[in-house]
Amino acid sequence: MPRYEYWDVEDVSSVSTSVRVKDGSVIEAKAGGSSGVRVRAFCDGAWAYFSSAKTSDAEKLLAAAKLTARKLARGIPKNEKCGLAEFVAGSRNWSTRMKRDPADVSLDSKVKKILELDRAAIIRRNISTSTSYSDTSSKILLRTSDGLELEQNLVRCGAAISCIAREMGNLQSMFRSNRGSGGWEIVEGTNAEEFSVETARKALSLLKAKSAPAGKTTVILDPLIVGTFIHEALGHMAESDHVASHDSVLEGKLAKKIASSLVSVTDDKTTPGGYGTFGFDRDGVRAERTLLIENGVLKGYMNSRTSGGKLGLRSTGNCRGEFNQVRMSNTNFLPGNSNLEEMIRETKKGVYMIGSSGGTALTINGMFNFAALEGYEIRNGRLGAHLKDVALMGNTLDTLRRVDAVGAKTEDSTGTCGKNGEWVPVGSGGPHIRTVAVVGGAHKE
Amino acid sequence: MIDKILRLAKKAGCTDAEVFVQEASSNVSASERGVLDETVSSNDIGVGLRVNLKGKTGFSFCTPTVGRNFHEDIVKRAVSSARVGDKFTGFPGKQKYARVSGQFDRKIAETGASEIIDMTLEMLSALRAFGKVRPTYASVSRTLYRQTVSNTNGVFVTERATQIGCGAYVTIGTAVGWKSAESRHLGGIDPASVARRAAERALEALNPKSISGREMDVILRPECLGNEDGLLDGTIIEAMSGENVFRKASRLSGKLGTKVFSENVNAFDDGLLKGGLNSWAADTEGVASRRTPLVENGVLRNFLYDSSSAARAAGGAKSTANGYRGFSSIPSVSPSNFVLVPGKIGEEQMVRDVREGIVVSWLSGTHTANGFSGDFSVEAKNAFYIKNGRILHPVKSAMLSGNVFSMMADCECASNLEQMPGGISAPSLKVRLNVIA
Repeated sequence: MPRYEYWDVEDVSSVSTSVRVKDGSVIEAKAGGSSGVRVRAFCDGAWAYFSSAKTSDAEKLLAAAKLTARKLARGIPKNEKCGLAEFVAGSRNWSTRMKRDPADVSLDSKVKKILELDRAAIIRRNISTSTSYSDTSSKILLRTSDGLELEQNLVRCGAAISCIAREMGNLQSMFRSNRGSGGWEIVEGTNAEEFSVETARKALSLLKAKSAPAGKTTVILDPLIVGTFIHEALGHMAESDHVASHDSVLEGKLAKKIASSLVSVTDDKTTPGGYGTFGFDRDGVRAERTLLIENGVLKGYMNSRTSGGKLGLRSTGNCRGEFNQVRMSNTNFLPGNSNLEEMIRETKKGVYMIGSSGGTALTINGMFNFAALEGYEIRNGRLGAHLKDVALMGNTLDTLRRVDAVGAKTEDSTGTCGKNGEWVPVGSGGPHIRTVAVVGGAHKE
Repeated sequence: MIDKILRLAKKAGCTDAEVFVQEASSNVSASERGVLDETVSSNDIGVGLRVNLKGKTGFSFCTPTVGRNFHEDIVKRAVSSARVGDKFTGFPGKQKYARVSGQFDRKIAETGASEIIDMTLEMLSALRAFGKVRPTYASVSRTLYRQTVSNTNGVFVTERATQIGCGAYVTIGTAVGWKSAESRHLGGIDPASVARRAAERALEALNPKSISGREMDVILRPECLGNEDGLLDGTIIEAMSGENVFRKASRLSGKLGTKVFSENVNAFDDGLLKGGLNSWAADTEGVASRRTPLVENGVLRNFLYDSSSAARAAGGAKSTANGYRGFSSIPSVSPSNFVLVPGKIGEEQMVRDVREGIVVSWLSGTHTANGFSGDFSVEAKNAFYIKNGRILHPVKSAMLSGNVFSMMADCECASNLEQMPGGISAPSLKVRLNVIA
């Protein structure tokens, strides 16, 4: 006889608009909608998932899912059988707070604004621009075998620009985005001088930048790349599905000191306007602010009901994606009391890294690598040469232990995080920090 | 459904219209820490509508959910999108399609969820034979695809394809091994041997030692270059896109007929490649697939085009049948099956010729490579140190930095070729790179 059974049905319908503009003209402007149903059934540690574009299939799929889960559970060894984690249920009705629903703004107005932002960046003939806009509004209905019936409406909106500067076969690019949970107000208020002109200027200035020096050195990371660092290098290791499958360097380290006392990190699903913000997760668990590291001590992991069930921990509301994955929301490095000027002044030799073009990390051993959009050499307490293609590699725990300065002012950024082929919007951020890692300079031409 | 949407579009004043329908149904079975505890079964369908209204392109998409007015909705949205849309450059006309061999395997179509589960269990038992190897993740998936393009120029093409894939990720201590394989036909993968290969790779990587960094010979194995995580996608392949050439955002712009890479570099794109994971009789706008030579003995021969980038190309160009998309987007230029042609010497010989260097199994962080300049700094995974022609030991950690374009201008291709799931295939490549350790 099964000991623990559970099922849920999620109805998702969403509408979205997107605009793509290149070099001052529209490439694509479109609106569309999609809907579908996703059904899950759990039995003693086994999950069966079914999905279909036809919402009317729900009952049929649910019956099949329950049957499949029971069948799978029979193959699970006794010592691996488990239930689902304790949780606090989300509120019955939750909606993203916004000033102006993107659905109330015409496609014409959206195109006009994006054209304006794109064209503003064409400050020289050797600049190629590409600007995109998107808004998505999703309505999610979740009903579970625990008797929950929850509804949430998630609205996300934003724009991004990429500029390429050319000179004699030398091509350099710069990127900037402005996205969040919220309505049209996010894009409407975007300032073309700061968003477009500044991005184009930075791409142009990179034409004259030199490659970074290579080797282990002191690095100062700006808030945007700190966001990527804390997401990639720490966040993924603190996702407890990795911990449960013995694939995380943080396994067995709860309540232990793993980083410098200056390091505190949270994953906050409730950040107003955060790109990764929501009301309840895929399990129906209420969004919360989860403390991961406090003054260098590992305080918790991010758990879903499944991973929490395996580890005997409560859910922290981090189940996201189509069916069941532990994912981050808005992950932040908390501020300290230093500042950028002081950090540079105290540094004899090093590199200042600015902006992020993404990265990856291996959870089992904590090795990470990521790249900045630009950088500066630091010599004797002063900024020196402008650097392009600055990449960083290191070991998470080593790098976190060597953090010796943390700024007071923070800034957030947004991204899309992929895990096993599924992509979710996330936020991340923090202050300037200083540590030691391996910088990889690019090719010497 | 398709005819009704096309009719409604005409009625709404569109002079041309095109419907693209994408269907996929799949079964996945997955295991964590050696226990099979997850199955997924999904059925997806989506429709995209592209129209020409008064010389401008409009586009919309939807999932045709039963009981809704989706026919009218999609047309209405496409029409309003055309008001602000890009210039219409025409749809392809009626054409003859070649037969693609090895695209559909009835055996995969008839494979049920329970067979997928059995194959996953085979992988797990193969891993158990290795004792201390931790089977972090293993899975098998099977998918049936159908895609249909129909336009008011008389194009109508509908095709089916099958795919089976499996992958394993294992660890021993902090050493990692993974391997995946995909094929259009059931016999094309052997789940148990894929699992064994993943375990062997983790064992090979045990007890790594540090090396000192400098410029040296680097042998990049196929997985460093091919598929969507390799170095070629997003750099060289982006630079071969007619759209980027037109935008002057390609380093290969204006270089047709000139020597851009090393003499032993040959590459082509082939939408009809036998058993190719992206082989279709037509691309997603109904242009008949073909083989396009891209690089011959280092000389750049062609760029890749979809119909819209071909219509915009300076001096005119024809679509090379490289218009690809999901149902929710208009087509854009993308390779079908891209092949970097293997050379004559084996990888073992290549290793024997190295005085000091490393051989690298795969790379991490390739998406941070600068697609426009080609500059990259990426992390080498499961790398091994070579001294005087012999592989000595695994390398603890190493970052490789260089430029993809200069790397290809001075490289040697090995004879082994691995067909990759992403449709981008490459042999091992010997290059000179800066190794930072």
